Amino acid sequence: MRGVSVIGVGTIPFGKYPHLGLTDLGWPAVKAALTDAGIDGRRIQAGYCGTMFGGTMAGQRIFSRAGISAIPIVNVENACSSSSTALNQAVVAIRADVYDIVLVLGVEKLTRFGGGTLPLDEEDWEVQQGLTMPALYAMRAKRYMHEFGLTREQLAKVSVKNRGNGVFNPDAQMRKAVTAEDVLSARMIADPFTLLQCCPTGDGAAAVIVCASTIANQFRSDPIYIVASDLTSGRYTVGFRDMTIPEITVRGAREAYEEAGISPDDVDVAEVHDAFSIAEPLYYEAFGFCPRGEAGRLLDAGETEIGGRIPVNPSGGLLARGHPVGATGTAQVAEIVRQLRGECGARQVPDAKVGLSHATGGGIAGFDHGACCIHMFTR
Amino acid sequence: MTSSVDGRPALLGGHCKLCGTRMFPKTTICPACAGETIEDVALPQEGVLYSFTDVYVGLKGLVAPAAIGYVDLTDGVRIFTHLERDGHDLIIGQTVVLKALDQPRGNAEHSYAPFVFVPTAAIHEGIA
Repeated sequence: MRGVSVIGVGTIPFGKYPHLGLTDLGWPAVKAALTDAGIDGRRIQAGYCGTMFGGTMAGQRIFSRAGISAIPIVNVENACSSSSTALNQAVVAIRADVYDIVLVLGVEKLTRFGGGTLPLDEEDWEVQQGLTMPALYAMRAKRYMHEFGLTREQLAKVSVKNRGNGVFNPDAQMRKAVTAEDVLSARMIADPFTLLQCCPTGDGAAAVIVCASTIANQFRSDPIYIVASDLTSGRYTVGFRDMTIPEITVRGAREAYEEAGISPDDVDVAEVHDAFSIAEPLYYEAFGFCPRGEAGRLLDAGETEIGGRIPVNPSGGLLARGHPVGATGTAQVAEIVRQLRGECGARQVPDAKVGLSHATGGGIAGFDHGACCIHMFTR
Repeated sequence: MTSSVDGRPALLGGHCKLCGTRMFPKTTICPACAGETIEDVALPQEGVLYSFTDVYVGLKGLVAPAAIGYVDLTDGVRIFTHLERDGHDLIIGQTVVLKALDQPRGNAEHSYAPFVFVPTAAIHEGIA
């Protein structure tokens, strides 16, 4: 099986762009990725575009602006994992010798909805009865706090850390540091979450160019090797489900570590799906950064801060970079690639050699999550 | 949605005739075995509160905060439900019981199923 490498990444600063359409959000990221790779758009053999609410033919609409058309283009919807799934599909195709050079884009425009919680599918009973994503994560948080004694103050540390990291990320939507007191005194959304423990909604785009590793050096001297690309879906259950164990991520992480041939100790930097504050500590445990029940201790010890033992979300994560749903997966990948290249300035994780990205989501009754896509990288 | 067991209202769920899986709400096909013969079954009125939250934003048609949660019924079926305190605290792990309502919760624009779960103590008080 052929190896796959990242040769280009491009992003736009996440934020609110009510005056821009999806196309004008997307093409600057594509163009930036082409420039980053030093590649002519005509050499792109296929394109995958991940978006949740972008409408039909988003890839065709956007890629054509950047001079890329008349090639296979696939539009991918997998909720919060849309563009990480798009990357997975590109990796699968290159490994299978179908294409050599592929463009992947994640793009989303959430300002079209105004504000508030994301619209979910009304066919779902729990959604009909008023379940929202913050409420779902809030119930995970309450149960975890009940079982393991995690405190509100420990939970607030996730927001303090990630908003602090966002200050140094020019692509982050939220670039102001906050204190624990700010977090705890912000207005309540779904107990125990205040507004500062919920990712902001906004617009964004991030593009990644991948190619067969055998030709990567034609484009860059520092290609980043993809050592695992794991996609899975949630396991459906009708009865009891332990909400303190993110089942889909535990399974995906195990598969990805096995594929990469590495262990949690090898990971230098991680971008995980911190849609709400509780998510990040749950994923510390799912990825094996600490034993079950000890995520609070990890936060207290500062081990997931930049400069700590295992820095998590140096970009600011979803809590600070923002979460334009379909764009998140490729934005995480762009951050890890830049970290492994050593391009991150004040938020650089020292000498990062191995990184991972993790996007999961899709609130559906009977599932932990609908989809989960994990990538692991080495330089 | 509701039937009656021992004179008390009960939720109607589904029971797969092929494999015995129970679910709520009732589906047209069994998620465990893909059997298509799903019968109505009255579900237990009692369960244990697995987790809950007070929602301040996003529950349209209700006065905030409104409590929602997951209840594990005594037959193993997990239900997503609205909760009311009825003068008592909601505590994870406590026993809660079904309380049928005369009409759907919410308002004309946003309405929800006509039942909630409440702390068992609240019902006992009502009977006494």
